[in-house]
This record gives sequence, C-alpha cells and structure tokens, in this order.
Amino acid sequence: MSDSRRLAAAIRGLSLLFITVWAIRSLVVTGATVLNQPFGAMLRTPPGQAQASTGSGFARSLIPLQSLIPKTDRVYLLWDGQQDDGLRAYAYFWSSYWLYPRRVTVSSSADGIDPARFDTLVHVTLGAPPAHAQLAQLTPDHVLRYEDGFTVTTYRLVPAHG
Amino acid sequence: MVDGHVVISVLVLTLYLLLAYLAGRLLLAAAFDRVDGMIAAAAPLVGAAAFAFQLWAYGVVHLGWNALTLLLPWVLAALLAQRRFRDALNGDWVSVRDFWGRRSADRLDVVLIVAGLAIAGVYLLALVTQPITGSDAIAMWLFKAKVFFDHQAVDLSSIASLPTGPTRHLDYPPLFPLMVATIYTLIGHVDDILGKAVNFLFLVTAVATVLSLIATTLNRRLAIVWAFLLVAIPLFNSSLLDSRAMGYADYALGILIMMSLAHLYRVERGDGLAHAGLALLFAGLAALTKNEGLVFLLVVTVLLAVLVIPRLRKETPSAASVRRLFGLLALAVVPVVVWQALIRSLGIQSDLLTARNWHLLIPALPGRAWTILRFVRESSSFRSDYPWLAMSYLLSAVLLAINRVRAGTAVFLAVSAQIASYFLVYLLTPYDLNWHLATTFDRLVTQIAPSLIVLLGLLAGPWLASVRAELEASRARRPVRTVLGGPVA
Repeated sequence: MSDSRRLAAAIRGLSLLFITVWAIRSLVVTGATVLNQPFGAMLRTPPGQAQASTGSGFARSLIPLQSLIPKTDRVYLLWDGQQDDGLRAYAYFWSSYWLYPRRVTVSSSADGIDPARFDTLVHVTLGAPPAHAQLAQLTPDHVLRYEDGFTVTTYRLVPAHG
Repeated sequence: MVDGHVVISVLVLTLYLLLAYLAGRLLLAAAFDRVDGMIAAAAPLVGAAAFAFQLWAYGVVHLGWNALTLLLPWVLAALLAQRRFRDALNGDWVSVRDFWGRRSADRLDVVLIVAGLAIAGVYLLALVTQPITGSDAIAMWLFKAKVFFDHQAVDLSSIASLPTGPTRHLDYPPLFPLMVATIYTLIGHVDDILGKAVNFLFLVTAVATVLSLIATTLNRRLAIVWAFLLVAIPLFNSSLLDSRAMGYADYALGILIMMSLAHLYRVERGDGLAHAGLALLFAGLAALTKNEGLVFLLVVTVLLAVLVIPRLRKETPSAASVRRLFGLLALAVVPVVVWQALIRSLGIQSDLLTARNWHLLIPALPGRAWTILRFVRESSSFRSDYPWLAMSYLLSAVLLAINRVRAGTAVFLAVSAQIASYFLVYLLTPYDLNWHLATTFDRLVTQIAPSLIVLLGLLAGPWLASVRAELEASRARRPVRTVLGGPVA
C-alpha cells in the first residue's frame, strides 16, 4: 500500500472514530440533561402558571396585570428599578410584550405622567423608591409585592375636568 | 395528573405538523411528477412556509386570518387533485414502511432510535411547557407574531408607531413570526408559550430529510447515526430545551440552510432538477427567516448556476422541468425581494449597515481579526460542541481532498462561504466587537451546526458505507469464526 493510500485510510479511520465518540458524547451529555428535566412539574403545571412564576418580580407582575388593566388602555410605566440602559430595555420589551395590545410608554421620570395622554400608571420600584410629588395625590388600584424586592403599583389616571 | 393545557398544546402542535405535511405534500405532488423520499420529507416545512405566505397574502387583500380561511383552499385543492394526492400519501407510506421494515434493526440501531425518540419527546414537552424568557424572543420574534396576528397582516408600521424604545430590528424578516402566527390562527388566539414550539417542526423535517438523504445515498445504519447526532448534539439543547433561547429563529435558520445544502448535494450527484429547485426554495426561506440567509441565498444561487447551466446545455431536460425550476426560483427570490422592498419603502434598514468611519476601521482590521480568533479559541472548551464542530469541518476538508468522488464540494464551499460571511460581519460590525461576539457567537454556531454535521456525513459516508459493504461481503464469503479465530462448531 502506498504512503498516500495509507494516509487516506488513516484519515478515514479517524473520521469513523470521531463520529463514534461524538455520538456517544452527545448521548451521554444530552441524555443527562434530558433526565434532569423536572418532568413532574412540566406535566402537571399549566404553562401559564409556569410563566407567572418565572423571572424577576417585575416580569411576574406582568401576567396578573394582563387581567387588571383594560386592553384599550394607554399605559405609562414609571421605572424606579435599577437605572441602566439594559434594564430600561428589559422594562420596555417585557411590558410592551406582555401588556400588548396596550400601548406602553416606559420612562424613569414621573414628569411625563399626563392623565390626558395615559389611562393607567404602572409604577415599578425596587427597594426604597424615590419620592415623586406627582404620585402623592393618586390612589393605588393594585399593589403587587414580590420577594426579590420588586413592588408594582397601578394607578388609574383621570383627566382633570375643565 | 397531567395538566389539560399541556395535553392540548401537544395535540395542537401535532395537528399543525400534520396539516403542514399535508399542505406541503399536496404542493409537491402538484409541482413534480416524481417525488423521491427526500423531496417528500421536505413537505412539512414547505407546507408551513406555504401557510405563512398565505397569511401574508391575506393581510395584503384584507382577508381575515382564521382556521377556515387558512384551510379551506387546501381542502378544495385536495378534492380537486384527489387521486394524485392519495397516490402521493400512499407512496410516502410505502417509503416509510420500506425504510423501517427493510430488515430487522440490530442493537445499535435500536439504542439510537429509542434514545433519539426519547430526546425528541422531551424537546416537545419542554417547548410546549417552558416559559418564555429569552430577550430576542420577547423583543422581536414572538412580539412580531403577536402584532401580525392582532392586525391580521404583516404590519410593520403599527410596530413602528408604538411608543419609542430600544430597537426591535424591524428589518428582521417575517417568515418565523408568520409561522408562529399560523399556530395562533389555527387555535384562534395568541398562546405565547405554544407559539414558540414551532421549532419542533424544523426538528422533525430535518430528521426526516437526513434519514432519507443518507439512506438513499449511503445506507440505513449511517442514516440513523447521523439523524441521531442531529437530534442529540448538546448545542441544540439551548434552542429546544432551555427557555432562555426558545422562540429564537437561529435553529430554524440552521435547519433551512441544512435542507438547502442537502438538496444541493443531490444536484451535485446528478439527481433530478427538482432538487435544484428545492435547494433554491430553502435558501430563499432562509433569507426570509434571518438576514444571515441573504448571503446564503446568493451563494447557493451562484453554485446552482455553476452546476445546473452546463447540465441544461448537455441533457436538454423537458420544458416542464425547466419551467418548474424557474417557478421555484421565482418562489425563492420574489418574496425576499418584496420583503427587502417593503422595509426600504418604510425607511427601515439593518443596523449593521449604518455608516462606518472607514479611515479608523481599516487600520484596525488586523487587531479586530485577532480579537475574533481569540474569542473563538477561548469559547472552544471541550465541554461545548464548538471543538467537535470545528473538527468536523476540518475533517470534511481533508476528506474532500482525499476522496476520489468530488460530490460534496459545492456543499463544502457553501458552508465555508457562510462561515466567512460571519467573520466578515464581525470584522466590520459597527457595535463594540467584544459585546457583539459575546451576544451572538453561540447563535451563529447554531445556524451552521446542522450543515456541519450533514457535511461530514456526506464526505465521510461513502467510505464508511463501502467499508461496511466490504465487511458484509467478506462475512458472507468466509465461514463464521469465533472471536479467537476458531471455526464455530
């Protein structure tokens, strides 16, 4: 057998070995991952309930808020959670997804609360919130508290007459 | 006690798969006179894409999205082509029976089949029960599905008119959200968690295609091994088992790319022009799933032109098959062109196309290339699949060099071009390179992984199959011996 044919045979043998080891590894790793799944909980828990108990307190609050806020409302979400761009994006994407078709405006400032433009205010706080003079005269509709420190309070905004 | 909602979700997803298969099979039976097993295996994805296009068209003409409007045209078409449709379904049934009943399965086959089915079953359960937690699923893919279903149209202006926030990448194509919206249309309401289970359709179609491709070109044992790998490699656990990456379109794109390459391989082998049409169709669907598919569509079109044009000159195929080929070319390209025209008319463009300061970027390119390579090397822990996929690619390159059969070259070139395009995008990204790598690299690997697995099968397979055939032939010639070499009493 020439050297080149021997080399070709070796490489082909290597590919056979490689495929065999790769398949066994996949079986072992994925097999272990699959067997570690919480089958009982997956089968017994309604998917909606699983969603409502997943993520931060803020994420969890959005599921009950779907039934607490009318679908046609324009929502002002005042974010008093941690202030960085990623978390504000999180607040925006999560609230606009779970509260859809409600139009949600997310802001870290209470200055934009305008009862003529919004029907519901959702105030999200983490830890001790800063005082907002605009909220002092409002009466909370619903208060949802979570063990990770998030508190979500909804207010109905009523435009002033005259 | 099993929750009723879970059972209903599994049933609805199974129904969706069945309807997609029937619609796809009807289309394929109408399009081609002869449909081999691999073309038939594509039926669920062809049908699901057809449903998606149907909804898109309904939105344009303001026709409501509901189960009746979606399914009625298909029922009528099935009645009109009753005999052809029934023959097609019978043919598929016979193919499946032949594949599994050709000879009794040995122990390894049984282990792989049972393990593969068990893993796929758990994927299905996870997809219909796990919550949605992935940011791109919530920000983009499933959000668009929800808005499209609510507006009963591919209505980007309604998303653009929402209160401003971070970008939702409206340039991302509509096929994946439309497939999710098809499930909503069938059940008549949004079911966020069930919607993301659409990825199961891609898994099923991919497995059927790989089984058929490798069983046709090599043998059944190798087909089962490769289909098992496609189901079981841990990389896909994230898309099919881990809620943080469910509802993303990368797995779907990876399967569409693989499907296109599987048909491209059949064209390389000199099989029917129908495969050229399907290679184009799946490349087009890839371009309508994620923007990374645009480069792929271009590459596949060029490769097919190189492979098919000389054949058309030499073989003079029937006018009908050329017409079909161009029909499928139109089906692959026209929706992509329409989509690109639509987003441009709305002033939407990819964030990757924003203006760069070339004077600063060009001198930085070598350093950026080094950063990319370093990131790839540091990500390649043997705990992940990355080194296995890289090794698979390298082995494929070496096998291509030493194989006497050149079939597989075009597939290898397409995979290489796609990897090169990813490298180029990183090189020129307007974003912080380290951030871009950290947030997207795993998803790009998911997009190319199915093709890398199949590529190795196509290039290593001919030799493995011939070795097996030689072994079986020599066993038949010689008297049976024990392990120690003595003859059996």
